[in-house]
Amino acid sequence: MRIIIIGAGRVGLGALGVALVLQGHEVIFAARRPEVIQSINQLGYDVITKGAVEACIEVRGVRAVNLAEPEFAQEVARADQIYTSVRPDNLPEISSLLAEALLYRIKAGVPQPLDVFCCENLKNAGSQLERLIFTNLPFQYAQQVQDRTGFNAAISDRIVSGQEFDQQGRIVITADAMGDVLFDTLQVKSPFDALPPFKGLGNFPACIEEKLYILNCGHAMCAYLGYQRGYKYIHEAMADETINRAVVGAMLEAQSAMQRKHGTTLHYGNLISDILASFANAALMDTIARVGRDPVRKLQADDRLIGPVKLAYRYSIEPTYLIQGCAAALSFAQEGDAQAAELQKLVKERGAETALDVIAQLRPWNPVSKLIREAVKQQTS
Amino acid sequence: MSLRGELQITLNGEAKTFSLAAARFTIGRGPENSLCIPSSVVSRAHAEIVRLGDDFLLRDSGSTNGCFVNGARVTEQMLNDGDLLRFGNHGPEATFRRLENESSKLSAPPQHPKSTTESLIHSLTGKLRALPGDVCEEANLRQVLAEAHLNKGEHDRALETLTKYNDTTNLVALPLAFRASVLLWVGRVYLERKQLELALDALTRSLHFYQQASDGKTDDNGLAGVHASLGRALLNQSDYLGARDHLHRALLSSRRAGNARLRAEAHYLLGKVDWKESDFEGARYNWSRAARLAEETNDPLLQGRVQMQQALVLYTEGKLKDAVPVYQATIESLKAAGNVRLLLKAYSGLSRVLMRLGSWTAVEKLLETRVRMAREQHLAKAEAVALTDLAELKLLEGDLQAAGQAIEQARQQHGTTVYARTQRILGRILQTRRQLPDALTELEKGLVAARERGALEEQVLLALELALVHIENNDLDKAREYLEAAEASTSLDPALNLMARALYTRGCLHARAEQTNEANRYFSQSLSIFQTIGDPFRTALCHAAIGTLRLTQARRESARAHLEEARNLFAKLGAALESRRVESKLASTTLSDVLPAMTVALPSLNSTAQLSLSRQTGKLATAALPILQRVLLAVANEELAGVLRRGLEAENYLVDRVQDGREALDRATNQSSGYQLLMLDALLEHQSGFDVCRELRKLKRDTPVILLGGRQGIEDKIEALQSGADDFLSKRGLVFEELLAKVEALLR
Repeated sequence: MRIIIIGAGRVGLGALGVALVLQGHEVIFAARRPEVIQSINQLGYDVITKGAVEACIEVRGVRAVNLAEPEFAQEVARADQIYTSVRPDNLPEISSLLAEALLYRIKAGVPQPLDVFCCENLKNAGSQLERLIFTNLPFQYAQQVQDRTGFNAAISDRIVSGQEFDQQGRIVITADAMGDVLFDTLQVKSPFDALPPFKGLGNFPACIEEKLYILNCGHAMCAYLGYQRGYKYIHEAMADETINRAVVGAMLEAQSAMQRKHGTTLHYGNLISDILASFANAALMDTIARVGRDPVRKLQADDRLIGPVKLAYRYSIEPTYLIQGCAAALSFAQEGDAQAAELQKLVKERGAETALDVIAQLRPWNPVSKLIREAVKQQTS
Repeated sequence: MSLRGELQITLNGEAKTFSLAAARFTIGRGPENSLCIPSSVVSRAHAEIVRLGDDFLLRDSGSTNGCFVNGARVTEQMLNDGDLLRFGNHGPEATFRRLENESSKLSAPPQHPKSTTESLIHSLTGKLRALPGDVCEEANLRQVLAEAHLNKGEHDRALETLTKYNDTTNLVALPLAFRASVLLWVGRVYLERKQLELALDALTRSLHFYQQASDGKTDDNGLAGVHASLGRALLNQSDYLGARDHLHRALLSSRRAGNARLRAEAHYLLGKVDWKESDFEGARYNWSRAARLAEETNDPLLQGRVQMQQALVLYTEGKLKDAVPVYQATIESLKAAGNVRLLLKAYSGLSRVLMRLGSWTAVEKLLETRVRMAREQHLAKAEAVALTDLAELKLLEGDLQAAGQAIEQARQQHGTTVYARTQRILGRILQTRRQLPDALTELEKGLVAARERGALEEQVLLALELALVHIENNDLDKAREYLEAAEASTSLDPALNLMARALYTRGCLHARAEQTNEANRYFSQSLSIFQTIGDPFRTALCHAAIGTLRLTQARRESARAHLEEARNLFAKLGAALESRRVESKLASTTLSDVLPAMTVALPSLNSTAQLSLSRQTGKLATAALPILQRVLLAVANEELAGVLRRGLEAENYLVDRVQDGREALDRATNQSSGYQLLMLDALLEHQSGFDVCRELRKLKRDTPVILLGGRQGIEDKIEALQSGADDFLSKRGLVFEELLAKVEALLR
């Protein structure tokens, strides 16, 4: 298949691109930065895997095109699948370019259906992208685009920690050896055989929530607790026994809450030991600053910290460790992180109660808010 | 003959001289030309040199690679002795020489500066007065002059130049080829003047002569010109099949001749045919071809016309913001071409776009320029159009007096012709003044005029206005009739704007008929389209309408949110009248005790904005005023009650739980408990949830109720709704998130 990956960043290169190339697909990256495009076109790129398998995968024979140039639309017209991995912030921007390209494809009379996988950490990623695309399309083409294009959510859980240029100017990616790419099969227009690490799921939204509440939650907890104790890397924090116990405890709390909600364990609930192993992988050199980045977003009502706490509370599971993570997040003051600075300003000037109210939508009388405030008091004393 | 000209050129290494004795000397790759240059950069019919009395005029015949005189690209240039001519960018070169006999050598020949349309007209008019002896030369002169006048948009003077040939004796005196080309120009002039019958007559005759004159050598340029003009005439007569046929022939001939200008023209007109026949794909293809070819020809007039068409498409598609730069480019091109008529048309398009986008101050300035320009050029129709636009602007701003004055002036300028758009604005002014019968008369007059002219968009708009007046008049049947007529026509036209306006009108109709749900649906739909287009005035109108609707539904918080949104938009635009209307609704007693909108009017956040909320952390400090909301949970089952209670508490609700039906009824009817929502289990001690709900409704308590039943069938759901519940959920397979969403929806 001919597959376009929009966004030549960590996820695009290190999780999606390498896997698709190894499966024998023709892969074209659509990027914005000229130096990245040039480097991929001239030199390909390398992926160094750490953890269970340590290897250097030389990815060659891939191409890159500029998103903003007409060639992008031409590639889209010939593509079988498209993946996006640009971070949610950038979706509105790329969606106008993608809409134009899809319009070009329709006008060129390409009859084959096309599947677009929105590989972003975002709830309802597929329909969010679809809506963005449709606001950018002339109304009379919307139906045709909808008929021929599937907008699907997808997510990669591979930890990709580094991206840099080597001396020759080639991009080198450092990534965990493990990790799947999950996608929603509900809206797929042209079904295909998914080979590992790709895995299609019928109950995708629930799995995403499970990933957010178990994997991302554990990862974030590790960062915030690690920051409190002055560590720099995630694996250092995981080596700290207290933190390790808290992270494992929190993930188990979240796992049992999810199990109560769905009556069964879905995907990630069974992988906790693998996930913990990848957290502890020292070779990744994953920093606490990166994992803990944007604490305001991570503290929002349905995100990785407050979400599982509320869920556990609902099903009468004592969220002891989860609460510790939320409290630690409130004290995250990493230098150079705008959201952390904002958060600290808010906590300092107006207190934890208001901060929780404003950011996490937990009103002062909310029992979850009370629990977190108590934990904050304990941690500071 | 006192004067001759010659062209010196080196072909295949051999120097040659061509005498310019004939009235028309053609240059091109084709063997039929007076000078045949076998070079790939030279078009088949590349250029011609026309003798005008003592002078020689070089004219580009729409060649692909252009003509250059002394290194500068030209479309028309009077030649001086020693001028270096080049055909194509790196093409072959030739030198022009004037040869004079002894008698005229004494006076120095006049030196011609770089030709502009202006200078051309000037020098040609002078020559015409001197009346050249040769009929062919005179014909040349008159054609060139007529073209120059047309390019400047001076149709009357162009006609004047050619009237001589209305007399058959003058026409017959010309050789066939000249008759054909003169008639072509006569046809073109009539076409510009919109005298279609006369134009068709002249053009058909011209075609006939061209076909007769072709003794082995076809004049492809001439043929292409006639076919294109015939295509245009038939297009204006709505004979699309005929138009298409001629335009295809024009394409073939112009391609044979290598005439990029006529190819562009043919594509441009074919695009118009496609558009009329609802083949939007085809239209877009043809216009993009035309745009590319127009760019190659370097002809600003043609470029301007194609660009204007593209801008118009963007406008109808609702891409207002994208249309602005295209209009600006159009204006640049037309300024360069010096065609005031089309320039005013482009200005008019731009001011309509800007008016819709809410840049009213810019529009006002633009209108001043337009009125002034139209007056200076004595273009009564253009002035009337500008005055109509001015009236609309004043109407939007709420200055009825100024609007009335402007529209009156516009009608005077129109004279006896009834112009649909002017009638529509007049109708709206009268409607705002509450002179409803007068408004109806004027609008109906406009509708008749629009039908006669086949102006589809105007017909729809007028029908919608008529429907609105009838709604205000409480004559709903008549209103429905007009609305349905308009809706039927909108399906023929892809314009988003019209669709949204039709939806809005339908909303008004339902609102007047007190069908709140339907009205709500139609208003929201039109709101979302207007937001997408970026039309702030109509967006505000929709907000105001929804706000008013909410008032009748007694949903006061939401009403306030919508009305405030409308007021802010109107105030920002400077729409005084509408702003006051909304203000008075906001100040009405029913709203004065409602807190300023706590629920932000969500429709104003499009999906993009919602997505990026997470990174707008700067806005955090202003978020969320805490609101306490109490829920009474009457559920017998311990486990379920526990999950619901804790779940709701984690979402900030205060929850009281009872197990007994009677107790639930007691608590719900007790004023002081103040529950915002009741969640009743069907299975309760002493009294079932269904009964509690019925009882409550009998007592005229309208607290929202969600009933939880043990069964999953649709019958139970229906029974629950009949007993007065607002929603029903089955306890089997209950998903908490769904329940929560329903709670939030009911409390919104």
